[in-house]
Amino acid sequence: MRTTPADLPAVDPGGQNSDALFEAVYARLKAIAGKQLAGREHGSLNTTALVHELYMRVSSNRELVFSHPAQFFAYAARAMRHLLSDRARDRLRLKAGGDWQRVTFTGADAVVAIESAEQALGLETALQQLESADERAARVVELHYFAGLTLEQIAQMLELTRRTIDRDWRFARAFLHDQLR
Amino acid sequence: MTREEESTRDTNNRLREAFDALIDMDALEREAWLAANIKSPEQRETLLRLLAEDDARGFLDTSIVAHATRIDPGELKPDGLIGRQIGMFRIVRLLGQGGMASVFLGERTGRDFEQKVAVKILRRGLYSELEQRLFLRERRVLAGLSHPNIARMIDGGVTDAGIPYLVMEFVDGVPITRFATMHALSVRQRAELFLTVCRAVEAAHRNLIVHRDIKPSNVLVSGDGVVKLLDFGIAKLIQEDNTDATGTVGVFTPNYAAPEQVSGGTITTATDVYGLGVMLHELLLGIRPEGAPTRRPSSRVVEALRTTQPDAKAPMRSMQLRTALRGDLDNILLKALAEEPELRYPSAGAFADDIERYLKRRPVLAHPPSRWYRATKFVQRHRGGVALSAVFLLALIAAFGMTLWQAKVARNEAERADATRDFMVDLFQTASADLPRDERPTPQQLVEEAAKRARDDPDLVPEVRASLLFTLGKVTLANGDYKQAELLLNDAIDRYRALGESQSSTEWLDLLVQKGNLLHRTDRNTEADKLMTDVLPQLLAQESEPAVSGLMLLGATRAYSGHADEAVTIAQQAARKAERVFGADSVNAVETLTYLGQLCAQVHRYRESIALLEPAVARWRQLRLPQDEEFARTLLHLASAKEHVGDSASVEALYREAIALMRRVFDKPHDRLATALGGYARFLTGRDRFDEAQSALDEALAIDRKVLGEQHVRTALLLDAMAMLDHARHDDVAAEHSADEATHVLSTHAKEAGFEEELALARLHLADVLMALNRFDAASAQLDSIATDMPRRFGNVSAENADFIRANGRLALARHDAAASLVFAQRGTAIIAQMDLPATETKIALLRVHAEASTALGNTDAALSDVAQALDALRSTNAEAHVQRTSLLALEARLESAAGHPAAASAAIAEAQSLGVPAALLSHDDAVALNPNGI
Repeated sequence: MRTTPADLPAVDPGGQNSDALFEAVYARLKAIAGKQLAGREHGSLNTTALVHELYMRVSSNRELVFSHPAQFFAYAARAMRHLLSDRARDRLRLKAGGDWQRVTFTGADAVVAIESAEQALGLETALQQLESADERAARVVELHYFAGLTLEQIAQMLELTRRTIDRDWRFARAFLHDQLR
Repeated sequence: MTREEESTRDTNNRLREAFDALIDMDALEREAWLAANIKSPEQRETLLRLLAEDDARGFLDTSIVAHATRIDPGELKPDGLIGRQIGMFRIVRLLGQGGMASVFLGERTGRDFEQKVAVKILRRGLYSELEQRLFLRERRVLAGLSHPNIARMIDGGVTDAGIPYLVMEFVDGVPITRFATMHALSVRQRAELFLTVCRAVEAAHRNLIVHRDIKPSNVLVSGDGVVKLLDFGIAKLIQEDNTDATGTVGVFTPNYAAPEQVSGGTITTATDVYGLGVMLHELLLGIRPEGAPTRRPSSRVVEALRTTQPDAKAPMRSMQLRTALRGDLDNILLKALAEEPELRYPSAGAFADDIERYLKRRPVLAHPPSRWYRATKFVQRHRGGVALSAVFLLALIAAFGMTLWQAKVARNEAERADATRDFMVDLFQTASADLPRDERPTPQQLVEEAAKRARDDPDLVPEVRASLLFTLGKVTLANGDYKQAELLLNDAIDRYRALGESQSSTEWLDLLVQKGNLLHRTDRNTEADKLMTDVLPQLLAQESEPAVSGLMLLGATRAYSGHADEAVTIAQQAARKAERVFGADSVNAVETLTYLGQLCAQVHRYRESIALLEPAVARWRQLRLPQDEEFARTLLHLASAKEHVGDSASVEALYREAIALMRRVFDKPHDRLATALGGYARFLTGRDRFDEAQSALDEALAIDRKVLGEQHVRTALLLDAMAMLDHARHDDVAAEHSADEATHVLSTHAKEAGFEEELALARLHLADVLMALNRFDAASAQLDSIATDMPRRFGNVSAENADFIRANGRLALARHDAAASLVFAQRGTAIIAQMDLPATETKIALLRVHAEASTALGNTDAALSDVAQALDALRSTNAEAHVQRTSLLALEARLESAAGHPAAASAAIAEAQSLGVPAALLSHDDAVALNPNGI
């Protein structure tokens, strides 16, 4: 998986820093997500709010420097993507065995959880496919679905027409869903 | 870029272009375009699929967060909590994480103290809803447990974010197995340590809680050797409704799980016994047993010494261990670890007892399996099986507890206690069977099953059997199941007799009294009477609760069979005994006095009744007992008794209080209130307070007519009171109507309702009314019909009988048989003289008859003397009865006139007129006498 989104101004030429940056963002995101969940009933989270909060924190932090806001969002999106996959893998691992043996697996919750987890991992694979097929569309998905930016905002950020972005999104969505079947 | 990649790139581009083009077209256009531009079938396929997906909903239509939430509803990151405040405590650090919850160290600092606690917070994980439920259950469980060896719950709640938490005693210790290793404890010492654990679990079992997850890591021992049992997270509350249709998720630690836990069978206290058994095995051998061992554990010593599990080590590293374990400990372990729950110890308590026996070098109960196994299995796990409702079971346990406490046979006491307790716990064990609601048996079935066991269980000694059946009988009787109760009590009686139970034992007396109560309640009064009379000497001699009950019962039965004097004597003896046995100021004593006082009143022994009821009422107030219906009834009885005794001063206050109380107690019109109002109305009638009496009766009649109907005996009684009211104000036409109806209804139902006395009185009242209407033949018929009843039912020497005689005297007068009339009057007066009750009303009425008869016989002086006496009596006891006084004064005026004393006559008239009674309330004769000039 690429760590630096193409077409976006690079943070710095050195690969290490961008990895570190990403890790930092990811770590922050997890912490915020955790705190947010702790503070609300039933873990109702708002993606945009989450990322926004992340942005606030990050931009006030001198250690993390983005040369371009778009870059941050790209990282945030990547981080969210990670978050989803991580959870999905954890969930599936837990199902397979481990410390506690679940002899009976009752509850609709459990079933939904597993299905969601499997789908989430499927999405990851599908995204990778999309990246080969249509890079820009993949990025739109990231920014729109994972980072929570509106199509308008994405259009502005990438300096493209709204119509183009709309089309990108539609194609990406159809493609991914098709892959997920 | 390679050729391949280029090719792929092109394909993708074309795909994308095609998609973009097609997206805005309708179906027909699409068909056309595809046909024209796409040659490859696969590509066509792909495009169609993509277009279909465009239309449909899918994964990406749900936000990523929603998906993330479904996968993991909200993993609570521990670091997020450090430093936060939960309740009074601050989270310091993470202690550990289990599958369901995270445990943190919390602390609270005050001015001069520092408290450390363990804060358990639910990790909202995959099974959040289920686990939340389990968590809250743990909290309920812990709240109910208070034991030095169970980690105490300090606080519990839900944070603002909606996360449940528990604050518990912080146990700074190590798992029990490690503790034993660290301190190199001997076999004996380990057994002693283990005993403490068992007792702690026993405490849980006694609270109907099965731990279900007993293992060394849940049993910590602190540095100073204090054992604490933790983690009731998946503990089960037995009496809880089993709302999980498929059974709770099988959450448990596999290595310590009982066979039935693994196979999904029912969880009972024996499940905990298994867990304890595993722990003991580990403590003694250093290794865990494998499932349900069939070989003696001591035979595994060699293997044990070779392998070592991380935390545990055997007490000694030699073959001496084998010797130490062989025999009793072997058997104990095998019993605890038996495959089938019924073969294990029924509870942790039983387990502990056997360990104690081992430690005290007494024979243990555990035997090798073959001999212990019973042919008939009591517990059936599925349909048709018997589980006990916990509530009823608790009642049984409580009742058995009482039985044991009363057991006096010292030698057998321990055995009896053990056997009974085991029996009960066995019964209790089946209560844990997770049967769904509709399969749970009725209390009746329970009792039958329990009785069957009591009879069939080979391990019970005869004394215990008898005792159990007795207790079951008592409980059943209390539940109102008379048939079942009789069978059980009779069985118990037979067994006690066969055992040669001492006649003077408390238990025996209690048993007979229970039987007596049963007979009394099922209307076999004569038998009950005989039964109690036979043991009267013991009842008098013993100073015990059964003796009090027995005397009370005998008082009632004697009263029922018409032996009023004896009933009263016995009641008084019962009252005194109750005061001694319960203590004069106890609730029991007060209630006994109340009951006995009412009993005396029912047999018309009013002075004796007052002697019991007055102190009872005073103490009731003093002890601040609830002012309920019972109290109101007592007040009424007291009021009535005081009326009869002539102590009118407090009567009214009592009536009013009783009525006010009843209005408060009953939220809708109630027959008892009507009765109270009726009694008050009669009292008011006697005081000539007609309007008040009328209003009371109106209300009472309205209630009874609505609640009981016209044809009810109690409605009839009210009509009788109404008749008397109208008669008193000389409206005899109306009075006849009511009296007629009253006698009619009463005569229809008197026998079955036991209202024969009331019927006789109603007829007497009717006769009086008829005489006032000059219908002497009809009146005579009424009097004849009650001629034998009156003396028989009320006794010769009674106010009622005297009144009856007075009525006969009046009738004789009307028939111009003055001589006979005089005789009647004298007889009546003689009776009153013999009574210790004043019966002033009747006395005055008799004096009137006597006066009129004397006049008719020409003896005016004697007549005037009678009237003077009557007036005196009236003035001193009933000063407000102006109508009655006016009537007497009118008679006086007539007599003085006839005797040729016009001045005296005028004086009488003047006094009468000064009372200002309207003529409408007087009889015709009286009105004329007071207004001789027709003004």
